[in-house]
Amino acid sequence: MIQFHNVTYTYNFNTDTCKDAIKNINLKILPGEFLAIIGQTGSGKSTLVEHMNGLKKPTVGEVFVSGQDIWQKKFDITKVRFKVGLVFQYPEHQMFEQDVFSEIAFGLRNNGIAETKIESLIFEALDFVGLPHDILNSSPFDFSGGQKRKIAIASTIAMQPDVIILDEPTAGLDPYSSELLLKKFKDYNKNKGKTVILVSHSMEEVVRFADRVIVMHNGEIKMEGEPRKIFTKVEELNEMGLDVPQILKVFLELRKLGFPARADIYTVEEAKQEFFRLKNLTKGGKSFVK
Amino acid sequence: MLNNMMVGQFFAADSIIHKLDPRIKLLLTFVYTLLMFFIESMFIFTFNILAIIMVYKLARVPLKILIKSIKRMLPILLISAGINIFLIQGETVFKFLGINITKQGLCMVSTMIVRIICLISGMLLLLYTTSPAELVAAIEKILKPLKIFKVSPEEIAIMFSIALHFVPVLLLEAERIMNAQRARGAKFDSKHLKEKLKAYITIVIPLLISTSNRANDLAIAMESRCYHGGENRTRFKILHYSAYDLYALLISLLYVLLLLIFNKLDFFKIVM
Amino acid sequence: MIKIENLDCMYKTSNNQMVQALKGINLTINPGEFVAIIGANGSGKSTLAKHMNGIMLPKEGDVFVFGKNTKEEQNNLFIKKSVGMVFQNPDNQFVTSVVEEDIAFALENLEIPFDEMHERVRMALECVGMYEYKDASIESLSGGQKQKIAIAGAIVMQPKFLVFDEPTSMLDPQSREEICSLLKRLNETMNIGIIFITQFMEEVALAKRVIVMNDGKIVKDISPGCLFEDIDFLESMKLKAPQITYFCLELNKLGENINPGILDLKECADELAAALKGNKL
Repeated sequence: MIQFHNVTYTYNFNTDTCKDAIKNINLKILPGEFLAIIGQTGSGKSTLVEHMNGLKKPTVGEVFVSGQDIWQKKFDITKVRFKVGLVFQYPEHQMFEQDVFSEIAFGLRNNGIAETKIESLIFEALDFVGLPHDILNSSPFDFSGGQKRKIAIASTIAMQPDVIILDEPTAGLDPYSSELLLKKFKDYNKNKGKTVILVSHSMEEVVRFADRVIVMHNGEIKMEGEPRKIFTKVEELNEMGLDVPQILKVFLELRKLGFPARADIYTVEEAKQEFFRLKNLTKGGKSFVK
Repeated sequence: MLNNMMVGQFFAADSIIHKLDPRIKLLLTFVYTLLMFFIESMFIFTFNILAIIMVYKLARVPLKILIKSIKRMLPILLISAGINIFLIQGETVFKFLGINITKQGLCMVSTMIVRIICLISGMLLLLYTTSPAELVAAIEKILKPLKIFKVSPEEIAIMFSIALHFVPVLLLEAERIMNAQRARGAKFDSKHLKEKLKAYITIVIPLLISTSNRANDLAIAMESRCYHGGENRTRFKILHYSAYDLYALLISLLYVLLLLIFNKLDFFKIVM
Repeated sequence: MIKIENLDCMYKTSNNQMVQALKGINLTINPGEFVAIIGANGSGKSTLAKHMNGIMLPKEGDVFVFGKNTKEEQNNLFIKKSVGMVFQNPDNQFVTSVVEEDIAFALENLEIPFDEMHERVRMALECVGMYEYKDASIESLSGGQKQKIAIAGAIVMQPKFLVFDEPTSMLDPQSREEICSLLKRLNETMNIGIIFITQFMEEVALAKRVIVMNDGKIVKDISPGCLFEDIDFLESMKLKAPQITYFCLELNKLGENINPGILDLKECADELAAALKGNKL
């Protein structure tokens, strides 16, 4: 779907404060996968995703979307933007229209979609984010923070991109709204077979939703693979300033206390099973504590 | 394009220039700026550039920073130079794209570029070596006479300081919004003027909204930190003149006279 | 002491609807307390916080800070300097671009003399561990560092209370942890009362007392441990408990003797270990 070939991006001004560039990235994103990208602030995550829809042009290397080199001469880069939708952090800050309808229609109109088709696409997008249809005439600025976020996301979803990139979509939302939103995107990924790329700080989110995770550090991809496997490397992750899910930390503590607990426990369900496994072991008369 | 956040940012260092009273620096920068408009000879400009390099060394501000800032302004410089070079009439040196390039044109454009570089270097030196608080305090002192018109110099000074802090923040924000709209297919590079203008409106509105939100937040934050108008405040930086300021004034005065005299003597003009 | 009595707050939205943000709030916060305030988006947390230092003044009801009513103009500076505030967006709380000059802002307003001002600025910077950045430009700092400067800008007033309005919501996990341990230190070593609004349930564990808000009302005022035991209540408030609480509760349901109010990861591991060992005996 998206392919990076030796991509390097350097800022033309090299001030000391700016480290957020990327180096020698090779990456293949498959159609229909749910990919997570994690890394500290300034690790290059944002720069990486901005290459995926042609917002940034690599200094060296090529980016392919559906097999097309997007920086080839004569190729219209705006086409990529409709194929790969990017939802920025705090997307509600981008709103400018007088009513919700025009706000969501903005991308569609830029893409030259016929007015007759626009309405049904907007309804679909509203259903997706879970907003009622009767809000279309109100001003997008009259809503609460969480609802504004949904409207802004709907404006990208309405374009029905094959790939959707979400840069920390849950920042500032309460836990309940966050959960609901991510579930929607999991559905989008599963039921429609679309590619979803999630930039996140929350390891719990990553374990629960992503098929594959990329760990960025100092502009490079340091680790890549199934979240369950990646998170076993706790020490390496900590060195990169990243955290692991809470429940895993508890079981790692248990290991320190001498119990042969597994080091890949991420969900409450797994934790429960592991606890009873350990319990059965101790029942058998084994003692792990000196 | 919008990433020029490092232009003219204060560069903390322990130097004589940093220690000069900001009022003196403000005054000298003003005089220097005027002076640059009086000078016409390339030789004197070269001399001036050497002098500037010396002052930068004295201020312990790396020249690298200056060069980087000048580089960033180069496109604007070259465009205006390009326009001028075709417009000036006179003795033809060579033809370019069917337009006469004249000796006078070349002369005038090169002087213009050097003049602007000299001007920028001088003003940036002020910003590099004067912390915002000092600059604000100096402006406040200089604007004191405005009090008779019921204008509060303290408040103008605080506004100036806030502006200095928020310019880079807003530039970054503008870039972010621009990228967000681009991701939704906004046509900033369109060849149709109308489309292009429309695209830019999609930056202006969110930026205005965000600025007013920020202003609101800031007002609350300032109030929480006991701000109650410009009156009755003490200062973190207190300005007082020292012997250095006197030396700086004298040396600068000599320098100005020297340059003006050189400028009057035709002898140096012949060199060019 | 902050005392809030029968506080109501109404405001008009941009489309002219009246919204009641706070309904009959009664609350007392004692010096040295560490209180967390949680609630879904729009539950009135921020509005409540803004009443605590007189940024918003009550139309109905009263707010007293050490016995002084926020409504009375002459108390204004006393209240502002007793109750400091730190906000969500690190970029929007600075008035100048150099660290130490910004921290001095409150002291300039309070007409503190020159020498004392410099001494207090130095102490505040040392307290948040940012002294080496005193000459730095604020733009060059990370989000977490900016928040530390904002905190220094408030503690320089030597307040008795600090109100934090979601100070960590725009930070990455590492900075978040740093800010949390800083808050804990301010509370424990300087005995500053902390009022901490947060969206992250793990951070609630820092507090000794939690206030849950819903629809403009205080619906619960208990200890964090007890709060998380009642998952159904939390979920009805559109909130969630930390992962380990869910886990401990599950075990409890299955007949294990695990205290579900545990919030510290090490303690939790110890408890599990004890349960496993107890089994052996």
